[in-house]
Amino acid sequence: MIQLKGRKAGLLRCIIPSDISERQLLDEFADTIEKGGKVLLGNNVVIDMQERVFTPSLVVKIWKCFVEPSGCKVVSWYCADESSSKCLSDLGIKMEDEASKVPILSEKNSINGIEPGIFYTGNLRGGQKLIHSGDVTILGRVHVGAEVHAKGHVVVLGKLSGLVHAGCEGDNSVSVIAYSLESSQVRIGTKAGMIDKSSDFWSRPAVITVCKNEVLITGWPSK
Amino acid sequence: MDCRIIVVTSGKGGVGKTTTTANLAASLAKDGHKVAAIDGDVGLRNLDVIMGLENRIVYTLVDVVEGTCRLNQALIKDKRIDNLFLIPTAQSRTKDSVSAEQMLALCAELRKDFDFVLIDSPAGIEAGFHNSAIGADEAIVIVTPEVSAVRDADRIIGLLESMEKAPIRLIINRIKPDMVTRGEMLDVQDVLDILAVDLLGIVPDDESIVTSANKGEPLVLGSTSKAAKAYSNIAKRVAGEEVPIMNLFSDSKGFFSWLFGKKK
Ligand SMILES: Nc1ncnc2c1ncn2[C@@H]1O[C@H](COP(=O)(O)OP(=O)(O)O)[C@@H](O)[C@H]1O
Ligand SMILES: [Mg+2]
Repeated sequence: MIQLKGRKAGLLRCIIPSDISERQLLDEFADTIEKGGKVLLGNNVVIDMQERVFTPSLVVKIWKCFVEPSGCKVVSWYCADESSSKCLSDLGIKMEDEASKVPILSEKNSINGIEPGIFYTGNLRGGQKLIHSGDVTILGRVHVGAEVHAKGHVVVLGKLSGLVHAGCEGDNSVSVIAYSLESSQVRIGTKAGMIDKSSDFWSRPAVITVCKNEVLITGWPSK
Repeated sequence: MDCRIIVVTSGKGGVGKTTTTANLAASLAKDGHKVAAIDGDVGLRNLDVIMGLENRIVYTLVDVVEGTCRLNQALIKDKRIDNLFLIPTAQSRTKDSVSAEQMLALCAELRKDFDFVLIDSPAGIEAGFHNSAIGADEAIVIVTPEVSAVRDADRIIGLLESMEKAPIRLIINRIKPDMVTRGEMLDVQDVLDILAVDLLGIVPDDESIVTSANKGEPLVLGSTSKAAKAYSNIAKRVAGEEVPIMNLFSDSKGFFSWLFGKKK
């Protein structure tokens, strides 16, 4: 989910996660503008592309779907990917330098630091990471080498072979639900549960919770 | 027909990107399509050798993008197969010698003239992958049936998805049927289960690939090997024909029968 984070100085940061496809950006931007509408008009914004790699179509989309309709003023860009950062600065676009990054003080839309849940459609592949300060539902698979870190619950409506950490800021009351559990480890809050291939729950639907200080795996609730 | 630009890539090196690019380009050209193969792996000159065109290089990809020569001066026309052209790469340059903008401009120019442009790219973990892939519409990912290669392929498929390449299809290369039968090698289904991606074709591990590479003679120029048949099938599938995935197993118990008629 694209996030707008505000700093007291009146500078907004538009964070575009690298795990959403360029195609999804259109809808995401529309959503961001609807929610952040008035704050954006005339305000200074830093476009944060995170790990995403530069493509010309991306820059056009950001201008057409975000900068222009929202009426904000982009003061600089940030890109964690070095070669992408170079592409942009070679185009004469002003890049935010590391030193000028100020910690984010307040988050929009969040209640007690918990943000609304997100729904991700697609497979998370090796090397991809989804981090969210709330609940996460994935309509797809989490492959080996992919990671999900959520402050809240995590539901994977596909095969889970990667790493999930629900309640990643220490909340042991959340659960992980997987349509097919094929991961050797699931983390909840401060606990980690190990799962063996020989387990009855391997390759089956599973609900994982913390009960009496231990990670507990149970099957799908019966009807 | 509109031109289709396809990047041939992989997670790790040495799995058969260059071999595939050469043979696929030759097969497509033999089937009557006008094809340009670009060696996008700057610094590692390979494709020209496998295609047997290394003695005819005057200008390279870097010369074209830097404007040292015109595009058609760098396009080497294959004398054995009509409609087949190669843009070789520079050996004495680094992987960042071609920028994203330069690659996009080159692809736009080639699009006017060709039916297919195949780009042999560096492996996804290497520098230069992104720029060599940027101008492509579609991607072909090469993988060998080994756990480590499959893992690396998964990462690259993720990258290609975020670059919006579509379709992204898989070729499983160097399958050794007897090892699969003995359970010593991942089979096609295992690989597809892990990667959840469409299969474009399978290629057996085959001596004829090594000999044809050494002779600089694409397999379509007369080889009757299984690998030659595999590449010719793959070329037809790329061009949109429905060709069943070949059976590599001598007992023909239909290991792959479930794949027949499967939509791409
Ligand atoms: N199906 C195959 N059977 C036997 N050898 C192969 C096969 N595919 C590739 N090779 C050999 O593997 C080596 C690496 O192939 P290459 O196409 O250069 O890989 P890449 O371009 O991915 O680095 C070459 O020596 C090639 O001849
Ligand atoms: Mg190569």
